[in-house]
Amino acid sequence: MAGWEEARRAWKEQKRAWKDQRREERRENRPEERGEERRGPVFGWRVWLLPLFFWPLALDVVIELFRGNPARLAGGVLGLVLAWMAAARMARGQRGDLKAGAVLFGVAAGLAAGLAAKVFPPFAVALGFGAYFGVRLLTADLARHEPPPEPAPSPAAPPANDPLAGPRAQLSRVLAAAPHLPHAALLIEAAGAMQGVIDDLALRPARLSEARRFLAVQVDGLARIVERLEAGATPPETLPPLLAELAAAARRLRAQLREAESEALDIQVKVLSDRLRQEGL
Amino acid sequence: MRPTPPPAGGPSFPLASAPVAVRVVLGLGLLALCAWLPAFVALFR
Repeated sequence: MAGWEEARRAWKEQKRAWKDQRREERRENRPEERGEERRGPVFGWRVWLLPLFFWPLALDVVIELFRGNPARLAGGVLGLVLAWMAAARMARGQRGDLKAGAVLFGVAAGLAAGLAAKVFPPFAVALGFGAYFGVRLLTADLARHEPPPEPAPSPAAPPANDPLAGPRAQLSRVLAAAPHLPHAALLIEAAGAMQGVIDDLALRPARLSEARRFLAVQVDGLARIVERLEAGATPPETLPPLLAELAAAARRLRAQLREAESEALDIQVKVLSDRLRQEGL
Repeated sequence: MRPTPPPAGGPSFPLASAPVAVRVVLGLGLLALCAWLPAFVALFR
């Protein structure tokens, strides 16, 4: 018996601890606790009060069902449905919803007055405008809960997915810094050769994957060398042959790219001429 | 009572910057006249 009591107490304690943990988690998840302003639906009494102004229409709809007057029935139903839609729209709390909801409510009031109450039509329209203005007055300050407008994207922003933008920027930095550094001529020659490869790649983006290693190793390496030289490093004796080798490698790559293009063209020409021959043209 | 400034780019209609109490009373009055009264008339007509 004592064992059972103990088990029950342990189970209760475990349950209490679990509840405390859940409460703590809920508190942490509240936007106010995280220091954020509350966003999302606005469930103010001023919004959900609006359809209640039409409570006589709910009774009227039932009465008109028995009386069998379709215009008045339609007026009552439309008034109730549109007023409910207006409140739901305003409660959504998105940008522009307050105004759209007020317009819907104005339409609901105008239709209810014109169709259900058989008010003289211009008066019904005026009543619709009055209801719109009343809703705007009542809910205008809820607009601060609306999310701010999206910032317009800046037109001058470069395309984010240009893979050649980085190497181009590195080479222009190298070319700008090279004239004041030791082995300026070799540096400019290497950078110029690499610039040629990048220009070729810009014209043939399909070959970009073949030159990825070149972009990653050689252009980056040259930019690092220039950075060190700018910082005042003494160039080692092996630097001039390395720069010459970099320039030669860039020229070789350029030649390879052109050769690949020429081969592709050659194949294309051969295929097309074979096809023409087969067709007997 | 302190007048509530309208939010930037927000409502721009007469009395938008009136105190909240004035706007609530006027709004409720207008709604009573333009929404509740026609509905009430429809019920008893």
